[in-house]
Amino acid sequence: MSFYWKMEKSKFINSVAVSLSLLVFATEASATLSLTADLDSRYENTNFKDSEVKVEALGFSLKKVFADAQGDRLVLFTLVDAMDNFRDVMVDQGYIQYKGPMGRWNVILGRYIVPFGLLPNYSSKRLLVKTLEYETVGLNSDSGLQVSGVIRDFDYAISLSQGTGVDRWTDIDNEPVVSFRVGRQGADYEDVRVGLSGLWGKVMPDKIHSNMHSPVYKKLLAIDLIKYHGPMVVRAEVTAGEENRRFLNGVFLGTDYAILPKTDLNFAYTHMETTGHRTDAITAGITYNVFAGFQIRVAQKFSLRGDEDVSSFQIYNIITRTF
Amino acid sequence: MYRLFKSTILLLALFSLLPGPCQAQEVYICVWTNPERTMTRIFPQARDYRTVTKKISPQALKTIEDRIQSKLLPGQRETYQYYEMLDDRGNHLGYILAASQKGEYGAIEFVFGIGLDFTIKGIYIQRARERDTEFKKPEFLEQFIGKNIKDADTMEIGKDITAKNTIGTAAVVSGVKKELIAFEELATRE
Repeated sequence: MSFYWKMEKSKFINSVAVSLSLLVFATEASATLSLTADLDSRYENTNFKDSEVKVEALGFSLKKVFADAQGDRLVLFTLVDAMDNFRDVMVDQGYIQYKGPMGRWNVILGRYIVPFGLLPNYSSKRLLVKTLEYETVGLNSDSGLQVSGVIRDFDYAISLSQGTGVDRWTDIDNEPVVSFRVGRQGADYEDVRVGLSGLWGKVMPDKIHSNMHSPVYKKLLAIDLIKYHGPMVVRAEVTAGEENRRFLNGVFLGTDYAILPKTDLNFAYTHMETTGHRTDAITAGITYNVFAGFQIRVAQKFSLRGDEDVSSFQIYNIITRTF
Repeated sequence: MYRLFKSTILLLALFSLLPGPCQAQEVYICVWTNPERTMTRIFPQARDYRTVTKKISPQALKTIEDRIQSKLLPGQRETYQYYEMLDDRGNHLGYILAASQKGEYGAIEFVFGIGLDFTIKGIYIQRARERDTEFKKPEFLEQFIGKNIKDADTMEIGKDITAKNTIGTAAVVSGVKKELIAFEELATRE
């Protein structure tokens, strides 16, 4: 660990220093700065045999909003993650957003979350019950240019990115990835949130989340849905398309149910079929909110097709401060 | 492995000791995605908005807590944020206040707008996990429309708000009251 940490420490410090200088020293009369740090520690046991205690992620993010006389205009955001016992240090997100009037249009340049499926509205990165983006898209965030906005009940985003994820800032072969999402969300928070998205292009899957180490051609369409109903939240995503010209389909169906004031039950069914390989799994978990920003989670993933069963225990802590 | 375990525990301890706001299920900062969606409903004529963050001085904190007769929640004690709604010339049209209050099953997040006359123009629930449904009924929420910043101190269920007294309705009433008082102390006086 010390070898990796020594190697990656300077990268981590550099990333944080660059982010800080970008965000803090870019002074402006009307600006809001938010700092967030989070720590995700886990115990994982695979097939009731191999176990591991690890720091899954230490994250550090900064957001600064600049305003001119007409309103909020520029947003700078960066999220630096040290993953997997600090072995991988990466800029998970780092972008400049130019905001148009009332957010009807925004131009985002840098590394941002890909507008596909549930991703723009829900991230399972720090959760034990996982969505399918690393298996369908192959990555979570990518570097490029995005135009997005909100018009009444509808939101849209279209992105042109490199397909290299968090592993590289520069492109490999100038073959872009085009992705888009259009969504609808009503005024009432319990209205169904629904989205249609697509992605085309050559993707280099993130090495930390995938066993694939060569680029893959993707052509995907997805429908996503989020529905709040009393103590329950249901999230679903259905993806279909091609990966290297072979059929790919994925299904995520997850729910969180507040069973007690501080306790949630979490369930998910996932199905993934790609390049002749099919996986089906059910994950059941419990989230306990110890106090503000401090949560304990346990989960058990049962594979229905002979793949790995994984038991997980997580301690998660997050702090945020606004200036 | 032992060193890793020690580092993890140390980091956890460090994180747990740090005071102040956090963003998670149980934290009382309004996690507001796509604020424009609600803003345009309350102020359809708005061209844009500006985020304003005010530092809460110890003296202002004491005044606010004396007036609301309780402590501000974690995440709300250091800074206060609101949004100025602007027309196409940059003139003020009103303000949007985003609130987060402790419900029975985590935070109840809601957003409301006040005009330049400091009366409430509209209110929307943004997120909640409650089993109780009283707090989201239109006949309850509509009672806040027209209430003025000056009504905040006396705002109470059974007096000027008619509703079944549940954890949800009490949270919305105390959240509106707290936001109006904080706005008056921090935005109109400082």
